[in-house]
Amino acid sequence: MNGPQSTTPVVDESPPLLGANWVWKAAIGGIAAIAIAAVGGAIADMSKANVFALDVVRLLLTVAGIFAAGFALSCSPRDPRMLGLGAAGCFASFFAFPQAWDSGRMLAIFGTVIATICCVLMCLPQKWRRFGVSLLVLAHFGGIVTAVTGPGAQPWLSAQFHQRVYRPYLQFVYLTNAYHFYSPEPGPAHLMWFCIYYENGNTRWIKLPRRPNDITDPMGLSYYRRLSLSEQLHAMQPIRGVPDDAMRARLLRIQGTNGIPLHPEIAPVDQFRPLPDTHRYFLLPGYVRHVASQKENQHDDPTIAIKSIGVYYVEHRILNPEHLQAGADFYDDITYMPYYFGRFDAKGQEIDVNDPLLYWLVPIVYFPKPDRDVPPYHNWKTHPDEFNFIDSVVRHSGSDHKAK
Amino acid sequence: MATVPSDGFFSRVGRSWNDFWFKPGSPHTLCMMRVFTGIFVFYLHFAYTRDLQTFFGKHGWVDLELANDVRNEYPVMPPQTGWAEPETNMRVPYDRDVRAAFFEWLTQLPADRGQRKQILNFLYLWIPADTVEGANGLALIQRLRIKPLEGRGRPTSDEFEFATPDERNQLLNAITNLPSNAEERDKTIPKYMQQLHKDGYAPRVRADAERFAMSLPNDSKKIAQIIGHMAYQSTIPVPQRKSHREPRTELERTLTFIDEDLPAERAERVQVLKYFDRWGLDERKLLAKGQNGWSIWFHVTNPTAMYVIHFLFLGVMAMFALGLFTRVTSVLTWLAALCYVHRTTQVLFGMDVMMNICLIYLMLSPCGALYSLDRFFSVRKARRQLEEAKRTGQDTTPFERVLAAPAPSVSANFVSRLYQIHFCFIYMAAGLSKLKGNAWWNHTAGWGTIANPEFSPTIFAPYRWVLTELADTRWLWELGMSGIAVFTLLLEIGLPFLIWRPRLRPLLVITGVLFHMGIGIFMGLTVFGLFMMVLLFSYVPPEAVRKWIDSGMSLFGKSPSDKNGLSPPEHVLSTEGQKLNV
Repeated sequence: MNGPQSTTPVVDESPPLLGANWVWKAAIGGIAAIAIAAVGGAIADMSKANVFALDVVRLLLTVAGIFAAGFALSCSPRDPRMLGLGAAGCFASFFAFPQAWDSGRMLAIFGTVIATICCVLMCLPQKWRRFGVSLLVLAHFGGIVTAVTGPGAQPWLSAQFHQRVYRPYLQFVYLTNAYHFYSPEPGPAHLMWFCIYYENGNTRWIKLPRRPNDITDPMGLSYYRRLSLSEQLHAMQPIRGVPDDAMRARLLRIQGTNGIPLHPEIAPVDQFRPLPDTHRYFLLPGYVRHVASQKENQHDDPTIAIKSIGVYYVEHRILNPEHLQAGADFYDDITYMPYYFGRFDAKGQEIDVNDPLLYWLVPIVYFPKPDRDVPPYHNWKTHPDEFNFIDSVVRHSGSDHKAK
Repeated sequence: MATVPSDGFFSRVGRSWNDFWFKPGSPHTLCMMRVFTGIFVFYLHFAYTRDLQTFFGKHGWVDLELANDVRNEYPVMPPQTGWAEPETNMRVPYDRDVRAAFFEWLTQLPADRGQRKQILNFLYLWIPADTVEGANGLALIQRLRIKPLEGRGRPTSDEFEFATPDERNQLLNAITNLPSNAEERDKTIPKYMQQLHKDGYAPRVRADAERFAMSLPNDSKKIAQIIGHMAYQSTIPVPQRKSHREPRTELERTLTFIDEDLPAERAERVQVLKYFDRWGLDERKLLAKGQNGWSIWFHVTNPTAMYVIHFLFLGVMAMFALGLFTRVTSVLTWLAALCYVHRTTQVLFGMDVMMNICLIYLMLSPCGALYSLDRFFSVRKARRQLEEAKRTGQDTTPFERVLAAPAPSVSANFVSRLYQIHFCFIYMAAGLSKLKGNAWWNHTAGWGTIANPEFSPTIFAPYRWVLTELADTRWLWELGMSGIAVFTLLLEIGLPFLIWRPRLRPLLVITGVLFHMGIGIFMGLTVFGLFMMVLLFSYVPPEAVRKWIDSGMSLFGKSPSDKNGLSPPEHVLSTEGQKLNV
């Protein structure tokens, strides 16, 4: 590393892009534009005039002003006067942005705070400036500590600081991640299957994401982003048990020729995954609305509308090595574990909330044929003639999800 | 004997701190990090182009309505400050119709707390916390107002009709004058209420029951829904009571809310219930509402305008990667990237987190000082001016200084340290959090990462064949999985401590690069791995970067002094640079 001379005078890394004269002209011109937008905006806000053209002019003036002032600031970032002017410009731009552009206003507050802090620091002698910067570093990493010690079993102090002090800052700069990658343990991926029911009785299946069809760039980002969308629904709420009514209704649904069995290898309580309210009422309906709004998901006959959309949330199991050794494949039907998440209309309103299978696993399984005495070491791969294949999704939805 | 003056503890700490953070450093490493970050950031956002509407459009997967709702209204609960704080938020009905009926009834309740309590006296006094009897008491109230349609054994809320006044009076009389026939008595009046009769409370029970029943809406379906909801709540015990004063059942929690928290003023009540309807919480008890997310995509939704802005952003990102107007474009790149991040957080994963960290610190650094068009243009200009100055006999020092290596700066070292410390946090958190999982202790976690059919290259037959062969021999499989688990844990937990040992640093950096290459190949998270490698690069000393670049240049037949200004010529070191032995 470098030598220890901490007192060496610091030389600016690169020469300014503009001469000093032009820098000040740009800064003052920028601030003036922002000020005009702010004054005009204040008058418009007071008179409650809602003129689109005025908002556009305000916006353009503000953005142009911020660019000019920002560019000037970048030419002399160590000058406290320039930083002070920057802070004033950011503050004025809060009022200059039209009310509907609350994002811009939020950015203006952030800019004001940053520029003010920088201005104060640059006014201080070097020793105190370093002291101030040190405090900021500690405060910043204090925020990171509160982020990485949550979520879940978070220490009380960390939770207090995170929620009450750091939350706005960390959210704003998107440093909220706890970095708990693949922990506590790596789990299976989750997919979404949408069954679109049209008014005329036709159906169409949309599966998200599809590998490799959804990989549209060399690194597969388009695919992983879609996978991330479906993973959002994985935030299951902890349940202490299946409510009696739900269990009774589920058991009744096993009966009959079109009955849907429970998965033989999973405890019934683990086959029930109710969604938290936020997911049930917001996220999932939002997804459904998107599916319903897409042109490619409409019926070939434009007069036939979408009647409803059924959603299955599918866990794609990771094969155990023993299954792999027994001949199973990573993409066999039984590796998919669909949970029924309800049926919605095209506006995302939930319908048929009393479906006994709501939030239950709708298993795709092989069962030994009832009339055969199947030894336990036989499986459907080695002795397919001894097993019946039951795709409960087909039974439940009334449509073949594998049909092209 | 002469004594050596020694500094105090705090002086030494202060000096070490000062040296660690504020010692000037060369920007070579950061400039190289900018090049890599710029390229990856550009790629990442270019990949959005096809999906711009799908992810960020008005009707995207997370449509504008939902995104605005979340950023403006999302509830932020305050963390508990004392030891025992009762949770007074009531649980709202799950079913939307039932919720609407229940809230409508709540809206109609009297503004005065005393009157309200009087109407609901039956619920406060005569519904026991016992899960079965409570529901029976509410069933009695239901029978006072409605009855199932003829022939309906277990009716739904649609299958009720109003009870006649005679039927109601008959039932009310039964409360005060219990039927003599035991079977009829048990069928008509819940057992716990029969006990109340013996204790002499029957007239009060009758009056309270009648008052409460008559407060219910004049709609048989709504009555069935409200009573059904309350009966359900009476069967749900509150899981964690911290004191005997806290409600025992969900119904008691609801009653506490109605008594203490239901606003008297009608407009406020409607407002509070509206938020309950949407988020299931009392907005007055929140720490805050909404999230501090901002994005241009919240405001610009016209597809054409979106594409124009998207390509402008891509242009800025390309300029940043090339090092053009770096001070400005570094900030703009970060702001642009956050526009995508804040608009639809649902499409993000670890890669975006790392991208943000790469960008956020680069803004503070002289990352355009080298390997950039900024450097190229300033050197070209300085050369021209130097020639001119030499010809005219002017002072050439300012131009020589520009041509020299960018002087070591405090900000370069400072930002490198920020990266290094942040990286330690990332690894430490990732490593320690894994220790909570059984799969990392029994060494099966590795299989979960390399055999995940949606992430790993299991779509390729040769890869599947390798995994199958591995699974065929248990000891080989166990050896491989143990290796993955132990290696991951050792690296993630060990690196934050060992990386500060100069001798171990190269080894750890190389190991880290291999680790992230593995993640990229076997877990499919290629761009995530690349960003992690960029962060790891912050541990590479600037001298090493300089040497690598020089070696690379010589491979192309260019001497270090002939680089078109992309990197400074060695022979023109600045005075400060020489002093610092850079």
